[in-house]
Amino acid sequence: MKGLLFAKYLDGSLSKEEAAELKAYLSTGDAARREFAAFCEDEVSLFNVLMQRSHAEPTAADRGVLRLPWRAARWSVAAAATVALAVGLGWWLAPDAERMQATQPGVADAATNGAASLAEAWPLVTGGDGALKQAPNLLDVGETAESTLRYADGTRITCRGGTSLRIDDNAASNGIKHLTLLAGALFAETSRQLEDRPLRITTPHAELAVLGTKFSLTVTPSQPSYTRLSVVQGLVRLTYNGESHDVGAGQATAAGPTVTPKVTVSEGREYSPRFGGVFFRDIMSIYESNRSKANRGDPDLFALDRLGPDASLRRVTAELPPRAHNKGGLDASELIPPAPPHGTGVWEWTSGELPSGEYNRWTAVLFPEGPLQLSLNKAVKSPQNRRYPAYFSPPPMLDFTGTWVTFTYELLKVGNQPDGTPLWEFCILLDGIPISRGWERDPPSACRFTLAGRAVYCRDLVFECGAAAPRKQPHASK
Amino acid sequence: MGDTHPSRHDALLRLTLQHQAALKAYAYGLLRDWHLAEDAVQEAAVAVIARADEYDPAKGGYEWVRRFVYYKVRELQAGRRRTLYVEDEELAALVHQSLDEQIDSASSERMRRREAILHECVSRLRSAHRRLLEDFYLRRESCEAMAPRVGVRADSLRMRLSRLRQLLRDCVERGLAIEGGPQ
Repeated sequence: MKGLLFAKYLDGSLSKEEAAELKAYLSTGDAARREFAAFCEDEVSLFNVLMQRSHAEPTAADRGVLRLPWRAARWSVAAAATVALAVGLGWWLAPDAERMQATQPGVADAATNGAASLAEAWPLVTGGDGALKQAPNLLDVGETAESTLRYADGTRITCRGGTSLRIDDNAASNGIKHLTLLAGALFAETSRQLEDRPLRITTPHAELAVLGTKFSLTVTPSQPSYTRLSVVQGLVRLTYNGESHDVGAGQATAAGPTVTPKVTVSEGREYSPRFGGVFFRDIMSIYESNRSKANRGDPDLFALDRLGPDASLRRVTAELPPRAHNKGGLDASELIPPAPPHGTGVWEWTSGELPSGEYNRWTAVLFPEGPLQLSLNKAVKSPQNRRYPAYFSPPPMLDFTGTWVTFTYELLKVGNQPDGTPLWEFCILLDGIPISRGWERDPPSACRFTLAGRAVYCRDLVFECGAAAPRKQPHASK
Repeated sequence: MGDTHPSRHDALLRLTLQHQAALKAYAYGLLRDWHLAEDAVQEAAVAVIARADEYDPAKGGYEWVRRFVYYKVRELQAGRRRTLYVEDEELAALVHQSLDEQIDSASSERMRRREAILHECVSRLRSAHRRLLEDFYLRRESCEAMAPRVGVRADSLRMRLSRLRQLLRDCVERGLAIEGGPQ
């Protein structure tokens, strides 16, 4: 057995002599090559097992503090008692061979799996006091709050403000993670799931099966009602109207009564935002909306096509809803559509002077019908009372064609500079995904968005500011 | 593409999932990096679905998918030439030949059976030994980095890891023998 030699090859520490020895050995014939291949298989298996154990181990620690729902708790106690009996009486008295047999499916195993699978399939959530506790069956996240579900296997699901989510306790009893996203948005970072037990997420429009990936999922319950999926890493299967669509890294799709999901694969270069964060792939055309169907199903959705950008923009302007937490004095009449060059719906919103607190956030919900181009011109008042523009160039690899996307610019006062003036951190997000982050030396006193694209809709323009950041952003810890 | 051949896509996705373990072992043998091997298989799965139109079941599913994994491995190697290429071309060719010939469509099933037993074998290791394996495999610490902490030379540590692997292999073989199935 040349295990040490194989191991040295795999960890890259072969000396020249050892490389020659390995070559000579692999040249001896099929048996040697089979031995090497089997070694590689065993290494992968060992890695898998250690990985699964490392994800499962926190479960035991968490189990003591879990307050399970009644049916789950009852089961857990019974299962734990059976495990204790099996372990206490049988296991350590048995010789090796018998111990091995006891691990084959049987009563003891079923009990173990019952307790473990429930704890693995039921998430914990951070309470108001900062302590982890068992998530409720129905999770309603406040408009200005945020909540992260944590599973024992390391899976994290961050729910944004306004999200309503149900946890399926029937499925959890069988060790299956099943969530129903009723409304709102979440960003999921899932660990590798067992192939026969993927994480399942149901929305009013579609079903998702997840095996280990990062993605954002949004459900907009109001018209146009739809589910939007954007995959950052891995592969997610979305089923809509009985048809399945596999959405890979860097791809997005949407499903709902007025949109038909269609995913196309494109290979492209990787994009690394300057300040770290998520890596995206170049996407040329990941989604094509079914325009005729949309026109039939929702006359407002593609009104821009029929009425022309200006008419439609006036319409959007008129429909901007008043927001209770719009403290910045934003006036909908400030939405100004300039003459659209080359037939595209280019328009601007200028906010005018905005009050500046320690926390500022501008949000706009957009519906691009083509690749979204976006720039942000900020007028910043310097200590010398001069104004100068700052701008944000859009990441062209992101394509939110045919779906609503939330653009967010956040500015937080994070401390003081050496000269005593405040230091600000900014973050730009698309659909909750951070795409750029950096520092500002001076607070902005006025802000101007320029949105460009073919037939862009916009709704829910909101400016918020406050004395302090209302919450920690999920991306801040990445 | 996504909805033009759903049944073929389904079949290909199932095929990829079915052979996932073997494909990872294949990629790992070539790349010598677990995480990159996972990436290669994942990206190959996406590429396989994109090229579903070209799939001919008569030509063997596993071999067809494996070809994509190989291309992805080459892409990854090209991007990180220094660290991932095996400098000795003759050795690289022999490694490739071994993996090509010996990891086949039956490997995944074999690995699944062995993993089921391996779980138990690992849990029966002494905690210090288990920690050693976790440091090496999960935390990706090199033997050189771990050696001072453990208080032995790197070569001794490598030998210790090798003995642990052999111990686990023996344990799995015994488990398979008890099951009465082929090893």
